[in-house]
Amino acid sequence: MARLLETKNRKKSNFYVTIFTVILALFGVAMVFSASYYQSLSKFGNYYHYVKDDLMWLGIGMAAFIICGLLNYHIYSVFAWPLLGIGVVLLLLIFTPLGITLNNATRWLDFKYFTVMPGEIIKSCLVFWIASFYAKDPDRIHRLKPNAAVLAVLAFCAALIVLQPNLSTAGTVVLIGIGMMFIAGFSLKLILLVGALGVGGFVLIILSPKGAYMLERVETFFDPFKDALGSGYQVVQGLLALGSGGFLGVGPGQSIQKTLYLPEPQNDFIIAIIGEELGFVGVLALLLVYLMLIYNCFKVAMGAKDYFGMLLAGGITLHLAIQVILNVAVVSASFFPTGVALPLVSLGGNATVLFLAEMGIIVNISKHTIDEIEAEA
Amino acid sequence: MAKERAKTTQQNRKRILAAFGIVCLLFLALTARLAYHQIIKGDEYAQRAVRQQTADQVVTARRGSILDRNGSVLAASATSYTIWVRPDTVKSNGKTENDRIVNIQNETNALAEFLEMGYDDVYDTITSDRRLIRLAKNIDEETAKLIRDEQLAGIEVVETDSRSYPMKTFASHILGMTNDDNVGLTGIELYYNNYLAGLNGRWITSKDSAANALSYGTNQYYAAQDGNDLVLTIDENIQHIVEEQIEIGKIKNKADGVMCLIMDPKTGGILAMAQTGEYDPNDPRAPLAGDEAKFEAMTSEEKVAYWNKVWRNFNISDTYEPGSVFKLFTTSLALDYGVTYMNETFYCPGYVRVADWTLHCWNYPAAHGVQTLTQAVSNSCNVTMIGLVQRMGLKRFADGLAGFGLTEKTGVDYPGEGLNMLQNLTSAGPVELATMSYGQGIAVTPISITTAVCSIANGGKVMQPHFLKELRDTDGNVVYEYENTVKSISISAQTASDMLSIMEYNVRQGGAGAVKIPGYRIGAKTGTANKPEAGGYSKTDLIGSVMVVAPVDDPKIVMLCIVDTMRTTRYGSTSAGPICKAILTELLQYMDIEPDYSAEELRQLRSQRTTVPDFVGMSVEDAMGYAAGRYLNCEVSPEVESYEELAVIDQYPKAGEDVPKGSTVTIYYK
Repeated sequence: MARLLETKNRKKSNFYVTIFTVILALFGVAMVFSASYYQSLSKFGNYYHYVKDDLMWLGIGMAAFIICGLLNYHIYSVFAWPLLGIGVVLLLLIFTPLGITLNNATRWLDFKYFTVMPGEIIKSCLVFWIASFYAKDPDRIHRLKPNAAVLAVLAFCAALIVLQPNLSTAGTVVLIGIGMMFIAGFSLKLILLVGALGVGGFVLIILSPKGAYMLERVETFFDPFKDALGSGYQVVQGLLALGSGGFLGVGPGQSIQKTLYLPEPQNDFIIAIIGEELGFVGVLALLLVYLMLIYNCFKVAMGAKDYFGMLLAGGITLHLAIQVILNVAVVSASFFPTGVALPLVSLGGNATVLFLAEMGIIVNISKHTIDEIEAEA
Repeated sequence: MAKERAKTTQQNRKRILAAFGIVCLLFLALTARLAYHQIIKGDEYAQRAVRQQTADQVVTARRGSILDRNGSVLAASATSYTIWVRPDTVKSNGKTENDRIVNIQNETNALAEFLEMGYDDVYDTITSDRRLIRLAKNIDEETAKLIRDEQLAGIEVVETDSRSYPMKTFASHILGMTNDDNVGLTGIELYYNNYLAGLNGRWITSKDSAANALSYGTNQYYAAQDGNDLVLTIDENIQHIVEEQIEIGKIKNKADGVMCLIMDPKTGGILAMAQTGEYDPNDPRAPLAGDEAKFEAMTSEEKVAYWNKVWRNFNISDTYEPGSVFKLFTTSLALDYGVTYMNETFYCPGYVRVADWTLHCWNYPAAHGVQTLTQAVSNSCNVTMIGLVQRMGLKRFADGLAGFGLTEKTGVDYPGEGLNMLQNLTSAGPVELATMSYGQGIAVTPISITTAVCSIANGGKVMQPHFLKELRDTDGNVVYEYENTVKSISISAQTASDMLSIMEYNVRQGGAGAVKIPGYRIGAKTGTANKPEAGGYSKTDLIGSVMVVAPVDDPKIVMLCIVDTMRTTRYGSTSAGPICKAILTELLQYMDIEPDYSAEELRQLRSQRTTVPDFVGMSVEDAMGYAAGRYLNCEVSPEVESYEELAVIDQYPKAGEDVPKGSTVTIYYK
């Protein structure tokens, strides 16, 4: 244990984080193309509609990765409050005519030339703000008032997101926040209490008048085959894809489930197509890459030269880990079906850019290690 | 603290490690969950997936054609198109209610124009409550292409293999028909369905969710095995002659129906089989010409009954009372058992007592008096027949009829054969036996009695009646040839030959003169019977029939013609006789049978005059037939109202007078 706590190889983290990020991003492009070309052909008459989109976002994301990798991460502490402000404003804009409503939910903002998902952006803003808030005075984590303030901000943001409605993003936001408080050293008892409160809140939301739509999705999670043609359709088609793949998969490009059976196979359910084409072995390899990336990110957090760097890296890593876990849980029918993209692999969008930027931040944090600071001194 | 940057504590590091631990645990759980789906449940899910991903299409085998013995196509398979509609799709085509209404109207207009259907009919169908409904079938390729190109919402154009009968009503009762799925429903189409149908193939492919075939995945093709072509013993030309003449005969006789059956006595092959009221198997449910108004008024149950009647093959499925034609068997068997001989003379007192009954000859109180066997048959003497059957006894008579194949179905290759109704052949009393000897109180199918008479024309060999000549594969190679089979031996060759001479005498000198054609040796026996009706026999409705063998020196055909309820004459010889003669005249020529005139015939042919024969003592029926053979018309006085066997007691002009051909002889029966 003690050896793990020491951060001897922290410089290598820089390399590992970069390499795993790039591997995931490139693998994502390949899989997005494989998963989407049939749908693209059917809807747009060419193979490349979705993969072009993905490459564009990936290009922007790589630029963000490089910029954030070069930009001193303390800038996020300086602009923590304005960034939070922007995030909240974007969340509020949802309720203006800028909001785009799809399938009974308003989750996007239409800025004519591009769309923005405030629910994704607020996650990063909150990570910056919470890290900055506790880094100002690490003792705050032991005091009631500041913690109450953080929870209030979390609750406010989550509430705005629930109104979209987007339960999974709200949940992710809360989980990231609580996770960061946990790392910061928040009392375990209180975390359990907050957790209990969170569960209670979920129950309340589900019982609310708007909850019927959500409840339907929750029911589906218990037995997706019960309504295989209705609310369970997507999950069932995902499971059929996974099952068709079996242990070794049907081979790259050979998925049949992507031929209009599984809706939007390039998005949240891309891992089902990966499972079909590359089998359990392929999915396992992908999860291992994620785990190694998460491990290296946490290592950067542990070796960060200051509290802000530690909590920022920790929050970013939690963001990544929670999204991967939620995504796989949804596709494997272990959690109620909800729209969570698979970080870096699913068809790109705001989230891809944000994740690549966050990975760039991790790389930057890893440059400033305890050793360097000690050497400077 | 404010200036100096806060440092990470050991607790923070522990918490991060704990967080990573939790992440690892969750990853492990998810890996287990994925393994469960992919490995444990993998096969089950994969099967479910395959079920939705594969299209299992039937590759339809081509149904074989039906040909006549010379290769003319009587029934063939043709590609046609069926238009299916998904009304839900039609009704939801358009963004606004107004759009939808306009779209439906446009679609209805387009379809009504292409399919030449009424606007309302199309509209009702494409907006019905059904999930999938057929709008039209038997659409030609051109129209199908037009509709397909139009890309109408909810309309599917499906290629189907449909049955086509190029000669329409021709031989319809032989061919039968198929249902919408191209499966034989009646007739030859049903009997030989397995050979005609072939074996459908399958095409299993992976498809996308919109049912488009994928270029990868499963692709297995099992070719269809096309059905065999069926060559029948039917001769298109003979069938055509028959169909034409029976229609004429039906009109001339104002009859309910006329049926005719022609067989080759040496093979048992059926050369022609027809009945009036042939339907069109291309559209079998349409009413026959003239029945339209009646049909419109029918309930659906009545329509079904009507169709069954129209589609029924009388010659095979139904029975009729043969009357005097049956005397051929009584006489044959008596000769064969040796209970009589050709030159034996019989005395007919006009009646005979059987048990406690007195059975009269038809001309009682007159009598046939002394006559030879040949004359007795020609005179249709019931008393002689009773005598012959009594000499044989029930057992031998019954055995003899079994030898003719009359006691059971012939086994002809056609579905729904009827069974003869004879008297109980083990326990029939003397009266039943006596009446049976002259063909009363029994009913037989045309196919069975014709088959039996064929054996007389074939030296006593009963041949299996059949329609099938051979089966051919799609390349025209013969894969099966029907082998002519002798079912049984009815009588000796000598008896058969004697019987032919009796039948020939009956045409030359007796009551079957109506079928006489100069230059040809033709044998025949006529019969007339009251039509059975509920509780007995009809007083007014008659069935007349003639059985013909030609030529008797080398029989090529046996023909039975039946007239159901003739209304312009009263006898088999005068109703069915002329029809037989008309058919024979064309048939013998078609069959290239050269006429061979006797000196007497040549003299008569060349002369414009003829000698009036002596009709007195003959039955009115025979007299009329005989007159026809002598180029004379015959008029009965007073007019006969009901069917009775009447004896001629006087005639004018008298016998022996020389009159021009075509003169009328008036005969008197009282």
